[in-house]
Amino acid sequence: MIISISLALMIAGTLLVILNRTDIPEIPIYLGSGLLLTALVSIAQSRDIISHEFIEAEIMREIALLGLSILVFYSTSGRILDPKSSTAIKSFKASMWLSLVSFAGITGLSLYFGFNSLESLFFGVTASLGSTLLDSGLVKEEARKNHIYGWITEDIDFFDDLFGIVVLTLILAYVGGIAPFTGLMVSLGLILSTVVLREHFSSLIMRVTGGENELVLLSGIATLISLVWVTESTGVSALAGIYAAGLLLIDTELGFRVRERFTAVKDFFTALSFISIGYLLTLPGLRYLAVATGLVIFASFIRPLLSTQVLRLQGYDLRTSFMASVQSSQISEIVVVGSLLIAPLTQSPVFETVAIGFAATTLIAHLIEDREQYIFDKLFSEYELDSEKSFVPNDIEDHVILAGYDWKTKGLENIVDKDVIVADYSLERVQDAEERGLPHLLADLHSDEAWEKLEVEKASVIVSAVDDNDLIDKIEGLDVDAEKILLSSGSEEFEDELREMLAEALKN
Amino acid sequence: MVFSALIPLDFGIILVTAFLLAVIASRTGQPTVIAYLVTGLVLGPVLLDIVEVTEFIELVEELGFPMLLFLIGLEMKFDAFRSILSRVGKIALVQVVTQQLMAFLVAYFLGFGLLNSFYISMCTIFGATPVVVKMLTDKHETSSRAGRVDIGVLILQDIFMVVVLGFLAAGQISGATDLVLTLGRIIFMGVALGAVSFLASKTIESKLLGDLSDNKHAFFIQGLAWAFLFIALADILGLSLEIGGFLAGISLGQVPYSTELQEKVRPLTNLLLAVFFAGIGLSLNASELFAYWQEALIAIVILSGSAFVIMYLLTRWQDFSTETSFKSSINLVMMSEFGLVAGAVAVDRGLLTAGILGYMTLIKLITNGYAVYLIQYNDRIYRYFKPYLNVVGEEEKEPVSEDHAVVFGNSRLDEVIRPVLDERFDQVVFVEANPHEMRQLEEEGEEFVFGDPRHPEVRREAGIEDCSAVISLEEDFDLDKEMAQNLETVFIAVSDDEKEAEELMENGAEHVILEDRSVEKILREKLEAES
Repeated sequence: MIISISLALMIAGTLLVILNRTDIPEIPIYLGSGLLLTALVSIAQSRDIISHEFIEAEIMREIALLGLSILVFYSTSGRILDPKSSTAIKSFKASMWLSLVSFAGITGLSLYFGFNSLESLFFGVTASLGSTLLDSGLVKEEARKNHIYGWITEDIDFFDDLFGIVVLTLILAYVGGIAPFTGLMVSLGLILSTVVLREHFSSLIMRVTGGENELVLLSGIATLISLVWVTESTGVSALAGIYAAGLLLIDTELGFRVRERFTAVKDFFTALSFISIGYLLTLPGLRYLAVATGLVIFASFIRPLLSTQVLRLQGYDLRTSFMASVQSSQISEIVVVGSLLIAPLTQSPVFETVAIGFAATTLIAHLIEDREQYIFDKLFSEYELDSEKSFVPNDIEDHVILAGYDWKTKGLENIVDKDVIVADYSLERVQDAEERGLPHLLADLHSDEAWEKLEVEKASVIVSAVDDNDLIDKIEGLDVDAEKILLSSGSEEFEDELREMLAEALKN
Repeated sequence: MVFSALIPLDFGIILVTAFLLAVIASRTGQPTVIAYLVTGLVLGPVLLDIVEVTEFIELVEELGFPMLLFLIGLEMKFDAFRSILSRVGKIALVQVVTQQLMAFLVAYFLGFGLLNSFYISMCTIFGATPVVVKMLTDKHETSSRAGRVDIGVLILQDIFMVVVLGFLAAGQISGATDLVLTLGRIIFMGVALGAVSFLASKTIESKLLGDLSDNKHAFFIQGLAWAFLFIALADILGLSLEIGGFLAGISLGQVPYSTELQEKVRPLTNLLLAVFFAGIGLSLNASELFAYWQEALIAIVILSGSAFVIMYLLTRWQDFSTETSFKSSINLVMMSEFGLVAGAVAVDRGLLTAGILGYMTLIKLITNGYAVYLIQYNDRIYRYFKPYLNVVGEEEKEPVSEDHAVVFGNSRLDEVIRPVLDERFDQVVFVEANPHEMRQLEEEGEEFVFGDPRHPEVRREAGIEDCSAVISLEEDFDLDKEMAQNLETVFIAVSDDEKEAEELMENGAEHVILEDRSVEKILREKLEAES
């Protein structure tokens, strides 16, 4: 098997280099490597260059399962869990509504088209879960910067995963012949206890390991293995165990340290896992290919649009709703794990269908990445931010416009004795301004209409500290008499100030 | 259970047990390698006999040592040893020959017979690279003279052992001619493969890694693909897998990306090694482990003692000071893991019996047991014996370090603050994970280390242990917090969040520059002027 793994990695390494400049993400490349490996091995076997035991399918399956488990564990452990977040409740409602409707709809459709109950349920759960496998880093970054759609996406993903774990546990329990209710109770009990106990667990393990890198790494693996065993020993599938293991590390010092050491292990096994999946993949029949296509269309296009609407109904503006919805438009890796677990127990090509859908949605999600604003502008070119969220007095003049209302500019209204209007695209910030009794506009400041509404012709000063070069250029390009106080991280005054601060710090 | 286990049961038991025993080992000052060996002994036929070596475990085991040698190869920087290479080379050469001779004589007189003694001597080498290097790193002694002598000797020993492994992997030797031919083939193939890997690394692979350095994930996989390519080639050419891993590593060790690659390979290697060493323990049973326990005890006394004496005499011969000679010798009194691996290969090829592997395992376990404490307290031990030694040569002085600052790079800000740092410090070392920025620093003649500042090895290479100040421009709260808590030097961070800044100060940061504060200050001044 060493030579076969070497071959697999060499193919992957070669494809990574060739396709590096095309910006195709790694996962489809690994899947492609697996397919290429299948082709090469078949050719070599047909010419008797290698034996039929050159690659053992069962070991590939074990590697695929192990790698995916590590991936789900790693992704889950990196989630941001903040139940106090103002977005949590609305996201929960949105996620539950969307998941239930998607699940019921797709399951019903599948049954209607003649698929059996197991297949229909699996297709239903596939459609109901989104994933941010590719974007998870970016989403966290947006959440950190307090961009509201980052938080919404994090919350929705969390609730989606929970929904998926519950449903898949029920399905797998049913297939496994144990009472679904028992399986559900065990899983939920485990998940709840990990969330409650995580800080204690983290302190204990950090004390015991002394923070040593090697021990921390082993503790991560041991945690995953132990929780998987707990679920497997009760007859419940391992999915809940993997998820609970990840939850046990969320937002803890141990979690941070484990992730730091675990990245390489995760990368290695992820690569092998998806190569194995590619290797194991066979083309299902036309009916199932049609299902895969349908799932891709639903996950990549229909679900984000539905989600946008649901979030709007929760009170978010269109842009925020769209940006949050489009982030998790991939089929979830949790479903792929579930389908792999069930594969030996059924003749149905559920695994193949889900895997193909997963690969395709990963590619599409990557194409959309960094182009969300462009797509939004194209789809909603007539968009105007809801005027009910704005208040600009008709007679305002000689005023100060605060373009972007974060903590750099908050409070500036106290040092000017003129009227101040706050303009921002974030609902929360605009609401903050409203609570302070300031005129406000919920607007996309890149648009000319926004500046018209701000009565920029009559303004005396425009202030902006938003780190957005396009916006800075936009404001500088406005042909108005207003004084423009614009500061970004590239400004010379800012750089001088920073140097002064550093010199002061070093002197002390 | 209806579903097949997600994580193979035996594999899982090994890892969980390895973790628990590693914690105990760490608490008792023992290296984790011992814990992994004991894991196998506990779970296998020696004690509980609850784990079998399945195909999956065999596969993972097979990967462990080649990956370790890949890592060791990556860590080899010839520049660091140039000044002492010729002296260390002489020491290593004579040391290896004399140790082999001693091991042969001891084994022969203990009754193992001529052929067995020959194979035993090939597998018996004193100086455990992963353990010694790790302990020296933890004690910050890798750049001391004694440390560099030890590492140089260990490197050359490892190269010798790689050849031995290849030789043992070849199987039974039918006579002197066969012996010469086999050795010749191994050396020729090894040199040829080495030359190919070296040339390819300088040309193709360096470029490939450079192209992929933007993408950390692809970068790592490409590095692994390189390792596996040579592992596979070595296997096909009839050399051992370990040779392939080593050659792949050493060829990449000289390119700028090696430190970052090391940091990625290390955790993976640690995991695979846990299974590897457990596998050695699993392959023994009680009767085999203790088959030659009396012989093992005698061998330990003679071989461990002679290892110290030989090394001491040789280093003194090469005009190293008494202190350097003493410390470098006391660090190398434990048996090498390589010896066990070689022994396992020899058993596999039918050259040695499992009982003899048990004999070597006992030597390893026991020498490790006391040797780690000798390394840990080598200073104190030297001071104790100093009055009785003929002290010659300069005392070891701590290398005088320049007044330098380490900057965790941020392309936006490091140019802004560079004038301030150049004025204040003799040297500024940038830790830069962005390959474009790295190339720019290279063109500008700045000192840099390519890699992620989250990685301890990268930070160590930047000289974080003896710098005057660390300035973090990463705005990575988790990293900054870890630095603030653990660094003993001045730590200055940049942040855009007031609460995080407060927390960093509470955790030990000397100063946190609030970027946005400076923006706010400027805005206020301008607005006030305008008003």
